[in-house]
Amino acid sequence: MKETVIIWTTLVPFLLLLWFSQRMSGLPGVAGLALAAVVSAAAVWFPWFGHPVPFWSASLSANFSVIMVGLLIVAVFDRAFASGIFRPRDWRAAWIFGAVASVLLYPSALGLGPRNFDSYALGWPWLFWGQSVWLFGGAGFAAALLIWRGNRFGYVVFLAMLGYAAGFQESDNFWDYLLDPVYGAISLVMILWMVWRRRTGRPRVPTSERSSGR
Amino acid sequence: MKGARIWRVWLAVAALLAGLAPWWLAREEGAKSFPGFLMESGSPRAGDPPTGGQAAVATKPFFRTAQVNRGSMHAKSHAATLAELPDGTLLAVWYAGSGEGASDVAIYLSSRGADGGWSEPVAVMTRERVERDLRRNVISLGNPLLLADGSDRLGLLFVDIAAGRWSGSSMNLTWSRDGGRTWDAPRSLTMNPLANLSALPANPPALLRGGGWAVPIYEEFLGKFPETLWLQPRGEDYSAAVSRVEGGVYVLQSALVPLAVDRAVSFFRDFRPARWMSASWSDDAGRTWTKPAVTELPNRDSGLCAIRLSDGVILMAFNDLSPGKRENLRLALSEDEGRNWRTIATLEEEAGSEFSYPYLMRTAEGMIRMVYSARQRQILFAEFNEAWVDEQAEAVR
Repeated sequence: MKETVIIWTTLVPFLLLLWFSQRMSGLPGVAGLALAAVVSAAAVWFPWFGHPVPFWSASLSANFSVIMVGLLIVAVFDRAFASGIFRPRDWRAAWIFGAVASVLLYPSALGLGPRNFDSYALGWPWLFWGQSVWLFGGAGFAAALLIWRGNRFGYVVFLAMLGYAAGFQESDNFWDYLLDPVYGAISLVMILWMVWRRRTGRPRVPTSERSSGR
Repeated sequence: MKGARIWRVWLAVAALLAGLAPWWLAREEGAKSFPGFLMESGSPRAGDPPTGGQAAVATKPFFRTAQVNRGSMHAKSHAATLAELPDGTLLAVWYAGSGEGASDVAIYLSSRGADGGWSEPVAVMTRERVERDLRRNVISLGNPLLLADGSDRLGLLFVDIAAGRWSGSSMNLTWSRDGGRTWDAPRSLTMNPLANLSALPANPPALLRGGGWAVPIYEEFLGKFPETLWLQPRGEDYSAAVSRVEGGVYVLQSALVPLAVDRAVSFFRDFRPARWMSASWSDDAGRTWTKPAVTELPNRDSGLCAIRLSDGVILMAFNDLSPGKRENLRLALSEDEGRNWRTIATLEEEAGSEFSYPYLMRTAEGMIRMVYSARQRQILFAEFNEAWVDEQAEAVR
């Protein structure tokens, strides 16, 4: 087993719990973050049914995406310090990226797309070198465009590409650095929510995001 | 403000380069993609000493059978595969336990030495060990497949089930350097973006030019379809990548038969209502495949296996015309790359019984070895030569 797997399978549940307990505690600032961190760390290392949470999260997925980790860190910091690292348009870019990537990846990878095309295979450049330029070039272009236009989500995509170059995950498929089912599902829900909000004429971003935006 | 904009431009350029760099660096390795199949000479290797009685049986029809797991107390023993070590030792692996998906299922290995007898099966991979090595929940094991390439390194592919049944399985790869006595910690191979669910091996791998294997695998989660796992040397280890053979929900468990360096045929287990075996052909070393075409061999949703003999004829082991059951096991020959078939022999036939998951391999000396499950309890072994196949074919001509 790749030793870095333990980092991802610990970090993602820890950050998810941290974000959730921040919301539950209602305590702002460093005090709230510290309390939530203690509670989350205890929950992550508590032996649930004989094993700590990383054991169970590795069973679910050993490949949480770098983008998912990046978004969780941003969400936790924004909530603790109202730092406004991400503005509403940065979040929107994150959800659009996740939703588009999910639509491009999952139906085809599950055998429900064109008969003998698997978009997941494009993440292995040494096998499908010619075609994989669309994935690698597309991700690079998306990150470059976002950064150039001042959208901070571009930096998270950039980090995902650096993570792939460093081989941080158990998977050696580029898709797994960009996307995972949790991030994909949240993105699709957020996009549907944004569309519904637009149709019903309600504000397009949640109150919490607007309050921290700059 | 202007400085910040310049930084953004530089970072944007860096991001674009970071995206393209791994793709560009893969250029050298990209040259190895779809390297073509390694074709055997088909005749006895020059300078090879006769082993056992094989030289004598090479021209005289020869057939014998044995049980690999004699004395087994397991309620379930299934999905056996074979490999040959450089010294001629034959190895068989299968999974066994109290039932499919049970927590006591382990991967067992038995070897056949010079005396022709099979050794006492040894559990080489247990649920507890895999759970400890991978640091994740494992509820059962299954579908082992040996990888041998004539070197002193022996590979073992197998699946662990993290949840549910076979659709909750993930594939693992481990290596042995002492003929299968001890094995490295397994490495999980990521082959699917959705929690790495459901990739299973079943049939013989094909050796690749430049090293490595093309392993026919299949998925059975939402879709049920065949794929090829490409294991290619990459640095100290092997890279794993998967290409699609066919999508959808109607064929799986392909038997891959290389016909030439860049040409191959795959035969599929079928579960459409008509239930006929289908076949696909590839002319670009397994990169793309024709749409599966129905053959004249029946297939009632059961495992099959095929190999190419020295004269290019394809030998198939399959269950014939036993709707919903696997009451017989037959051999068939095709002289036109799998389009037309002639059934030549019945290896097993017993009403109410089950003979399944045949696995064939052929040595360079022309010996054909086969393992299969009887009633999913016994692992049976059959050994015959091409002269015996010719004799059977002549008898039904």
